[in-house]
Amino acid sequence: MEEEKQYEGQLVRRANRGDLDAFGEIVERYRLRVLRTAHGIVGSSDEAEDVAQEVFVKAWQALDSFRPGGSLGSWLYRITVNAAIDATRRRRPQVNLDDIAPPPSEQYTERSVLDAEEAERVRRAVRHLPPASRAALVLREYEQLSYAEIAEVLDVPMGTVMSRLHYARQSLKDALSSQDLNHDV
Amino acid sequence: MMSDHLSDATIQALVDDELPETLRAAAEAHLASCAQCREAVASLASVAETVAETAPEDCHFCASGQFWDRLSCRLSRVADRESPYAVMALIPPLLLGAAGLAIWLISWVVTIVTLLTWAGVIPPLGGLLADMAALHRTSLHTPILLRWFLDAVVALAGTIRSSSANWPSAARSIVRFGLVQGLLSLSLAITVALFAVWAACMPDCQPTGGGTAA
Repeated sequence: MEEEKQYEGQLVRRANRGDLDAFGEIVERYRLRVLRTAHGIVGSSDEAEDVAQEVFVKAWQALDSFRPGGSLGSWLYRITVNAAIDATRRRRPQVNLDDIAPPPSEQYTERSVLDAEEAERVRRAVRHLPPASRAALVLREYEQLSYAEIAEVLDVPMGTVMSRLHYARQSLKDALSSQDLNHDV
Repeated sequence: MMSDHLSDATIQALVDDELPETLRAAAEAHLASCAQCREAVASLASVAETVAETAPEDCHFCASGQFWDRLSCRLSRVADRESPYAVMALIPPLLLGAAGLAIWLISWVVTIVTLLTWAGVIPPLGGLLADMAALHRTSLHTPILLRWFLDAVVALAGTIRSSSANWPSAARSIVRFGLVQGLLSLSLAITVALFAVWAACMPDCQPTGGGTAA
């Protein structure tokens, strides 16, 4: 774990000197995690791709501000959450739930026992959570981060993380148990 | 939650495997005897599992190489904009452009003065310069170096007057106009050519490097 951190620190230093190959390795390591987190918050693959691009451009520009010895993952997650929440705020007035439904190809690639309709129902319920709770939930359930890691990413106390998670799960439980969910959205 | 049941925070920490070992044993002992808390834990765990199962996989997104191609293109643009040397590349064409503009303005001033002189509106500048120089070059108050310079001006003006005295005024004006405009055209042509070379040397938006990500 510590070796991993040191290696990532070296990658950051090399990238900070303009080494695009080193930055490429960082991108390759975190691309999927950034995309997954962004998708959980913005709700669509296309928009998640745009957010992820923005995240890595911002990271490239801000490599100077990365604290040596810090967690590269937490740093990138923080940029991702902020960029994704900004993206949802920017497009909120034009949001159309029909537009953010996944394309047909996505509906048949679920890895779990959930069928496509159920998965979409869950995602839709997640999209209706307040951004702060949504971010905490996505970091916990998609990325399996600990409370302490989520607190570091979101820059809030651990108690706040727990209350946001509790609120998010309770809201989801209510929404998913409601038979009228589809009519609400 | 009532005090004889597990708190919401404890149930959540239990589901997330974040409960300290010291509290876990007590919580599990309680669960063994409390159906209500068992149900609450199962319900929360079910929600957590359901959300986790909807996490998008790699196939939801464009391929890694495609992502990197697009990103490296954006990064190269950012790098160019940030580099202080990017501004340096603009200096030669800008200086040449400014020089061309200055020559163009001077050419019009010279042309207008020449035409006004030819039309007799203003006296010949060469003569005026020679007269001014003659006035000051003999003055004792004029520094010696300036007197030598004025001598040179008078000599030069005299030479120009004697060599061009037989030229028709119109022909002289046309020659001067053509000379200045020719210089202007040449400088503009060089400027445009340098702009073209500079534009051709600009890095285009192609993926570079980042082999590890592709």
